[in-house]
Amino acid sequence: MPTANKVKLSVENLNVSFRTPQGLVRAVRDINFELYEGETLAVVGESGSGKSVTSRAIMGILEGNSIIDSGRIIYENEDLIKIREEDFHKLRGNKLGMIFQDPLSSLNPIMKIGKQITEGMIINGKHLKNRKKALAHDARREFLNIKDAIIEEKASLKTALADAKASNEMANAASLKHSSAEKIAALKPQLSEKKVAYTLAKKEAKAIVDAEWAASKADFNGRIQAVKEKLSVASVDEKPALKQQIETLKESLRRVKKVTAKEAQERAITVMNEVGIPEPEKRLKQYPFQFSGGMRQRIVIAIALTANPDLLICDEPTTALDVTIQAQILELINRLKQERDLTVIFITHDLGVVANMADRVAVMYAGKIVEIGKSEEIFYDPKHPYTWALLSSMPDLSSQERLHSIPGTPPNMLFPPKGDAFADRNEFALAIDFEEQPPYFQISETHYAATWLLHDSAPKVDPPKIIQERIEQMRLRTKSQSKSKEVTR
Amino acid sequence: MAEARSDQPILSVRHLKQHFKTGIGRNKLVVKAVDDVSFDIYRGEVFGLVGESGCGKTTTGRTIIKLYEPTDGEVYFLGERISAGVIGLKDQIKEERYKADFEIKGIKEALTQELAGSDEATKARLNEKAQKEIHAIEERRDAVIKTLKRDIPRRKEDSAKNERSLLNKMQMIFQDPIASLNPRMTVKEIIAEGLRIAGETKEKIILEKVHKVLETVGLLPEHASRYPHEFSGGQRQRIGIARSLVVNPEFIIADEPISALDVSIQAQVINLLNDLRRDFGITILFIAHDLSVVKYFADRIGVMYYGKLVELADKEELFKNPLHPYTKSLLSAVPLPDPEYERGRQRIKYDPTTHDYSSDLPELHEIKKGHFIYANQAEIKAYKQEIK
Repeated sequence: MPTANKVKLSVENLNVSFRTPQGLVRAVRDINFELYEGETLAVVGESGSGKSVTSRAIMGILEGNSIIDSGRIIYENEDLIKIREEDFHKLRGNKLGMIFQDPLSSLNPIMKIGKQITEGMIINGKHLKNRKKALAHDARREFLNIKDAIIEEKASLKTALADAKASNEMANAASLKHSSAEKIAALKPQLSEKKVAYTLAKKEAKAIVDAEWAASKADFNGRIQAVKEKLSVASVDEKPALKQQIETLKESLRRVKKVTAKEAQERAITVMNEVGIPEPEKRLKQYPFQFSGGMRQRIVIAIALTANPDLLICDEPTTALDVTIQAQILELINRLKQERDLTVIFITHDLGVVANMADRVAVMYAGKIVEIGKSEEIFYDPKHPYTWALLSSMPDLSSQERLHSIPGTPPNMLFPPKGDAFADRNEFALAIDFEEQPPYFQISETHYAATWLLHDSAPKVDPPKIIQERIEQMRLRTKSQSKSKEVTR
Repeated sequence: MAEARSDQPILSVRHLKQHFKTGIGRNKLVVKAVDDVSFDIYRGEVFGLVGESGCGKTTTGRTIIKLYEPTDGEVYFLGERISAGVIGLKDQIKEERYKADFEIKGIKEALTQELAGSDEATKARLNEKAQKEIHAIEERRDAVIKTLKRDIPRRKEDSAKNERSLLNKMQMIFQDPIASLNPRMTVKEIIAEGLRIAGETKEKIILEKVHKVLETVGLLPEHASRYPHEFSGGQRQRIGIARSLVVNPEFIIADEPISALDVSIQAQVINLLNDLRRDFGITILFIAHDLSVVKYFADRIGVMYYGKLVELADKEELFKNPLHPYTKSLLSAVPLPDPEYERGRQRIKYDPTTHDYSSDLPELHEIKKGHFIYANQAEIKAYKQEIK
């Protein structure tokens, strides 16, 4: 449970589209949510509702034909949409981890497991280089900000000119060009100034890091020399131990410079133990096909964990697994979350899994969050008709009556509907649903739903009978469960 | 639902074995995908087969419909034996030969020892006696092998005959609606293929039947001229169901028909299958790993674990009194859409090494009427205590 409501990540007005030969597909439309530290947010919805696209936007791994139309993703005071790819590498390697749906296709079939787990550590583990970059980071950011501003100005001039041409106002064109040229001219001197500052900062950083490196080198070399002297006068019995000592010293010196293969392997073994892979030393040398589905998923989790992330995005990690293995993997993720204070975004379409994992739930439909709230609120007091439909379309262990299936198909997002996207399939739809998008209505401090049914002047509609019955059953079950617990105590 | 069920089995599986062999010599590996499985499916019921992936539930379904030749065991459909494995018989013959050879060898060795210290007369007598014994063994062996051998062509014949007439009454629905439909055939061609194989040649009748079956599964006749890629996942699965329905089957094997579908579409397909069994009285073998769906849809449930059927019972009974530890662990792993309950959930882990089957061999026992469990005598005693 989240203890303090400290915001870890916030997504504001995110819009993502995909360019296709038929036109723009609006995959994510105007999404807003905040992720609090230490919580698990589950994102539920049918396929094509935009839940994976949202998570990929956060990770910065959207496909090439995607356009982020607008919006901000704020993480540690930085906007992940504007951030440069090189900077993103660092975040992705260290702060953000992701677990994918299909463990077989997200592992390289012709690469040994050990290499796949250590690869990221070794690539990201050039300590000296990273430190140089970190030292020059601020100067570089300032320089790049100016550069971006110039590029943006040029682009906006281009669109302004195109607009003017389209509306036959070419008279304005000259003044447009002029003002933009002025702006760019004003920026230019700043640019060169910052460039100089940046090069200087780089030089300084290099000097600092080189000095540090030389110091630790001298330190270690001195210690090695001392041991070597001892070695020269040592008796035969002591020699192996001393030689070993030299080796460890050499290794630790190497470790100051970068993550060595040995270090990476040691860490891989600890992580593999942590995710419950037996005999990791042996397993490191095997290929993915030699592992069962559940074990493969554990390896994918291990790869994500080597980077020590503090935000973990799980994109349907158990959909390809069967119940017993699914239960194991869910337990594992919950345990790791506790041990490492992870914040988790959990994407799934299985509401049973959501109930198991989530502190809060966001229900997505046609690229929008239609309802968001604490998991108790979503399961015991759902308000949006789509949440009702989702809950009643899956049988639980006590269902007898005919299942409620959602009629029709999700709307074609090439032509997003004018009103509520769910209106066509919604038996409770009001006339206004086809005309206007419903805003978010607040139900409680943490519970919001976008449906006109919550408007003051809307007719009072109760959730379908099947939902009411099920909620009643849940109450009974919880009661009997707590009773039986008391008895066992 | 229960009243449609009769006491007459439509399908009986007896000691069915399906072993896959790979490698030769030292690397030879036998995977016992299905190992001695027996059950009956009664007319009009839905029989659910559950278990984790790799437990052999799909192989069982495929062997029943003869996509695989069984290693051993028999399958009876509508009262006739439709397939029977001969490999088990061949193994028996081999074993019989080996046993006889071993006995003969023993006699011969004993004879040489006895012969060493005796005179001519006793030698002749001993020789004669040994010859007689050997002859008796050989005769007995030949008789057994003869009866066994006589069964082989009969089994082969049973497996080969009735292919068309009987197997048309048995159809299969596959898991993946995308992979199981030929992308280059129109829906009409896909559905009509079975009819043509069954011997229908009149184009008019074929078209009529295709249109009718499309309406049955909730599609429109004009969909017949389209290609599979033009349909959504749920509609594709409907096409797969229509293909199996067009030849008027009495028995359908549904192999995880909803696992690859989206949540909202799963309900559509389950409702459709439910309508079919009600309207046409079709018997269904429903293979799945989602227990809440199986509980909703099936009448009786069989639980499989590593090629063995470990428990079989009425669904209410199975969920109320699960006996086998594997069933318990499977039931405890089902996630329910109820956060309070989920927080307090205790998962039971199954450890197959807890069974001690070294001397007391396990069998499938009927512990209560209609409730079968795979256990040995000692365990049955414990289970009987538990059920009271």
